[in-house]
Amino acid sequence: MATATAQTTQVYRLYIKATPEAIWEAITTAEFTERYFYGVRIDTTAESRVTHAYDGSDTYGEDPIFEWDPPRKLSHGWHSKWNPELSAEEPSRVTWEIEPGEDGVSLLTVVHDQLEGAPKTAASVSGPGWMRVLSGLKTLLETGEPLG
Amino acid sequence: MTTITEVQTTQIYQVFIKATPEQIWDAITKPEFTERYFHGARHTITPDHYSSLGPDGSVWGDEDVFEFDPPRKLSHGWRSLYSDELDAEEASRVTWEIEPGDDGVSFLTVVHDRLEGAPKTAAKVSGSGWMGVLSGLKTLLETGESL
Repeated sequence: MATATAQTTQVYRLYIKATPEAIWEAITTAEFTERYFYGVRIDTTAESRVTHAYDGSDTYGEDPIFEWDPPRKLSHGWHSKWNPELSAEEPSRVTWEIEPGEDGVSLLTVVHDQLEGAPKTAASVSGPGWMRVLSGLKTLLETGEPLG
Repeated sequence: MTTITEVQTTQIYQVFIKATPEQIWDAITKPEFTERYFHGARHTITPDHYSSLGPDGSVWGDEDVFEFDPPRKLSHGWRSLYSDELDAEEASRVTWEIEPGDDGVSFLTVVHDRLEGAPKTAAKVSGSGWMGVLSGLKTLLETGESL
């Protein structure tokens, strides 16, 4: 990825020593997400993905679920409602795919796409943005401790 | 990190690791570490030379080192000598950059570029290829175990 502008389809991959079920739970359950997703509690069900505000008083809104196939595939809307500038942009889409492998190692692929109407969001999440989250998810599942 | 539509001639991979830059540098440049996460290959990287030996002792890599700035930046040539088909392609370049961060967490970026003359190599290393290596490096440094 050598271009100066962030891509409208971004793909991130990571191998994690965990079962697909363990990864699925870490992605969809607030008790896990607050330990690797910038401290944010996110509850995802077959109906919606709710991002709670830091103080617990309100939510950053609900995003729709496009696909819910535990423990293999989850696709949901993305709208950066915690930031007014990003929130003004169009929603995009995030898809998580989990492939079981040998020796209890799974391949997690995250595709953030449909970012054509959200260039600032695309820049915000690209590279270190998503990799911080996925690196923290891997560390949490493999060591039981947060990354940092 | 790469697009799914085509294999790029400049590929960038990034990961955060709970380790110091010095620990990551050692894990990249010393064979006793690389054999535990880099497809079993033993890499020895000095200011002058990059050597990679396969598990059976055969030569997998034998390249120049362009930049050697421990523990922050390392750049070396890349040819896939372990495969006759890939071996016939032109050499490319791999650059490692390590940025220290808060809480003992470092940010590692690997750029594999100059792949214009090596399309099969580019396809081979892309996506899960390099991310398999970096995932294993992270697991080894954080848990002491191979992935």
